[in-house]
Amino acid sequence: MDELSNIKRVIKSIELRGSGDSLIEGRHFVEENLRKACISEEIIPLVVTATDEACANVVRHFYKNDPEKKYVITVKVDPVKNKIIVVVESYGEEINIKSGKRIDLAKHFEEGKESGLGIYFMHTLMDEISYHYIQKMNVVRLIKYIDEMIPVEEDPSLHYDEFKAPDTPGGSDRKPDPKDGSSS
Amino acid sequence: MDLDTKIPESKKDVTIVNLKGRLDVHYSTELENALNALIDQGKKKILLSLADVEYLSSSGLRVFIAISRRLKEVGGEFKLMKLNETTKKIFKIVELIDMFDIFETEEDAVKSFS
Repeated sequence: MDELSNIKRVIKSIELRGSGDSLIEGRHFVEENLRKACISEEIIPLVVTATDEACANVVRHFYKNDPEKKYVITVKVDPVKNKIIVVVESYGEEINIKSGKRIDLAKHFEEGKESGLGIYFMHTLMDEISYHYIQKMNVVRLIKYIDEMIPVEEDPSLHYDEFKAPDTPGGSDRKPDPKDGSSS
Repeated sequence: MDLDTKIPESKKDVTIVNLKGRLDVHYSTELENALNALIDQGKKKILLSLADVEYLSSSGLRVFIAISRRLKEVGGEFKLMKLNETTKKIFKIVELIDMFDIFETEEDAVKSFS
């Protein structure tokens, strides 16, 4: 618990271009901010890798490496709830990964299948993953609990505002509007 | 892409490939092409050293699966060795440890080839 008491609150966002080289920048951004928040070196590579998988999915499969398209990574470290939240937002048509399920890796390996590994990585490296499509924006939300606390069942859509940096429109002070069925 | 390779004295039909840097989307594609080129040259026993791999993504895993499968088809063997702490942690969490033949040392890895 001594280690946990050192953890600092962090909320940072970065907007990146949809080209392949942005993935390196995204990894550095997440790593740097988790380090600033004094997150354990054991956990950092797991979160960085899972985030990179989410971003690679956007850049390669959805944006087709188009540098004119943009996506946003937000890192939030909450020392009160003992969790790290990373949100990846991209824009356009809905990405069909809601049905993404954990694969049976042994079977996958045996059959020589190569798709679905990125989603498998995300699910195994993080504690919770959710996908949302809100006003033409695809939102992938990744959560890692910092200690062994048991995650509480909650409606993920209600958390969306807390990912926004305070100085962005629709930021953390704004409450979800139940009328629009989303929290954007 | 030039691979850093060597042939061990004790088994000259084994090719050791020392991977370096980040096994991300870009590097993985180049790596897969380079490893396939090795197989095309007749190398059927490939041992990858991951000691200097800073980062492993699912793209890297995809290459391991593809190369392993191709080698199996041609009667070859594919093994991994010297996972560093970061890579080992990723392998454990995503339950890859049992998916591949993995060795701590080069000596043990080379010996394990038929």
